[in-house]
Amino acid sequence: MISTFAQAGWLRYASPKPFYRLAGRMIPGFAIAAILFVMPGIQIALFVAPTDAVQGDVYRIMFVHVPAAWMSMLLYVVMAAYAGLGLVLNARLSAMMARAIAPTGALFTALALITGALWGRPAWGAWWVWDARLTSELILLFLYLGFISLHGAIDDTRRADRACTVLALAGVVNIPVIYFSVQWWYTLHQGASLSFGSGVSMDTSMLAGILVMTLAFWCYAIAIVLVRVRRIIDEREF
Amino acid sequence: MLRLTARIVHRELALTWRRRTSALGCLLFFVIAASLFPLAVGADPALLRAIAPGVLWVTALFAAMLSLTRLFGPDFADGALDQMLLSPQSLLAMVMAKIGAHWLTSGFALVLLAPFLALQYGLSFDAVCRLTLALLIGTPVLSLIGSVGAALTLGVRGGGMLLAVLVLPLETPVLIFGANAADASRTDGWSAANFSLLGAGLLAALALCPVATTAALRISAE
Amino acid sequence: MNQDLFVQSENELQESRNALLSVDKLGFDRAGEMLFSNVGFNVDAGQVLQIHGPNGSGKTTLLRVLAGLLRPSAGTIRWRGKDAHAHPESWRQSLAYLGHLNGISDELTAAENLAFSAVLGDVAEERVEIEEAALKSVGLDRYRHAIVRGLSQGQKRRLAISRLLLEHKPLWLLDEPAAALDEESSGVLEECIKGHLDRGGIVLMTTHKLITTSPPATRNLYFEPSGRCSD
Repeated sequence: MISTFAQAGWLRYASPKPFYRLAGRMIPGFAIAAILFVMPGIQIALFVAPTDAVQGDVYRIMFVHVPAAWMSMLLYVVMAAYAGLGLVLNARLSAMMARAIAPTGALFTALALITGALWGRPAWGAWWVWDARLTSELILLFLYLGFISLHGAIDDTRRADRACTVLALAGVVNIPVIYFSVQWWYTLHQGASLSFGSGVSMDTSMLAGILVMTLAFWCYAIAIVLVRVRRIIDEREF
Repeated sequence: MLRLTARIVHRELALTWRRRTSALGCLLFFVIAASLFPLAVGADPALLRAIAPGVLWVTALFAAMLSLTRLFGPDFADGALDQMLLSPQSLLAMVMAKIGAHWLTSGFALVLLAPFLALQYGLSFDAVCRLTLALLIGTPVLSLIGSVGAALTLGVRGGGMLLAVLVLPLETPVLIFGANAADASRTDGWSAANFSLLGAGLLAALALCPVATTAALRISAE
Repeated sequence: MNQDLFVQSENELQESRNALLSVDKLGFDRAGEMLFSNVGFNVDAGQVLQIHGPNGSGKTTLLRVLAGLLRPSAGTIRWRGKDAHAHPESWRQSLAYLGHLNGISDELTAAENLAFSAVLGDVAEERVEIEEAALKSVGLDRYRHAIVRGLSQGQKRRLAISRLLLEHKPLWLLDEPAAALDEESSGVLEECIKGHLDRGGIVLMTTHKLITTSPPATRNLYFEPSGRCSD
């Protein structure tokens, strides 16, 4: 498979300078796609999806909260995958991609937590509830911040890249364990589950809305990560 | 291999004994920190009994974290770590021996202290037994996961704090299973499940962490 | 800072096929900055290669790359004809490294440090006589059971040197071994090096001062900030 890629000339994009140009061409496309997805997304979120019988209109924050939470998890896995790839193939660019993804991942995690709080206040009367998802998101935020801190603390970029790879891989292996243990902890202490999703019966339009917003976030994430990786390439190579 | 392991453990124990102030420091921290909670939340016996497993687990976690910088730090500083990396002997075996010896002087010592602290919190004999057993199984996992962080942050600015920031989120499952295993207010069924999960965690950590730590050490030597 | 040393003559090419240690086109870059590139040389049994250069020119990095602590960005290292990176165990079995740091623990005694080094070096049997002989060669036999913390800088360096005598490794990589040594101790160091060369060993050392009496089979490698280095 690698040889067919090589034949198609794709392999040159594994190197930072050609990738820099390719990324530059891709960014506007993804940025526009993000806007094109977010518009119908907002429309569905605010106007098309019906008012919920139990939670009223407050639940609409779910259209930001759920996609943000999904993105935060997905981006960690992608980051760990790039990190692992960088280790195996000894490719500088993969490590740079991992470094570029981290802040965006942290941002989405923070967004999920903030929207969780904004949802929780009217829905449950408290700014913070220790439910399984929010608690897991909090720990995920700590993992992202740890990754960024480690990279910043090590002066030698090669060592920083490789150290963060080990950290990201340790994190990705640990994440299912963390999620499971938090879920376990939650059921031990609360009995009945009180997740945000309960009480909101899912209309197809709601599902559509969530998916569209997820796509919008995904395109935004790609665009912003490419911008960031170009900046990193700039710093390191030129 | 056995000779190597025995020699490393012997060396680590000798070094810890000669640098005993730092090892004792972390145990003292455990005792002091655990004593702070009643001062802060009041001495109501029922409240203390309820919070004891959690409080003792968290303070054990912090004490274990404090002791991690001495796992590889001194060897890194005096060049002995370079010699270990250059040795034709198995680095993995050396790392496992070091972690084992380190646990004996940190985690295991905390396990021995815990019953006395548990008395301060008025836990019943049964509860004390559960707590001690949970710590016995859980503290090696803390050392194992912590060793990865210790190896990654060698010689880095703000090492100790950064180590804690990196390792504490990864150790939350141990905390959850361990504290709940120790919690005598749970039924026996729940408790047994927590212990099994802790045990499984220990096996997984034994299998995975030393490998990660070895890789991290080679990376840090650069 | 590009340091180039080209293997040019036919003689040298022939040499590289037979030499014990053969380094070809070795390069190392850190964070985009090339510390050295295209470094090559051949060293045979009984020869010493002195690496000269001011501080910060990359000498220590070269030695660490040769020891295997750092991975080179380019080039090969061949020991007895085999690629060092392909066979790391046999590579490590053959070398002894003395860096800027002594590699000894302050809180252990001299004897304990040597015993540990013996185990690390996979020395077949730990014999107290060998350790005593090593300490004697560097003049530290009186300090066998002294905690290292109480020794002077020069004595600690001598202890680190005595480690080399324990192990019987054919290749010695020494980074400024004479640092912190007085006249008399420098003499001891030279004795050790000469003895090692007589037994057919190889020494690669960095230095900023030439050892006063260079043994006959000395080669030199110069790292200069300006560029090419010479033999």
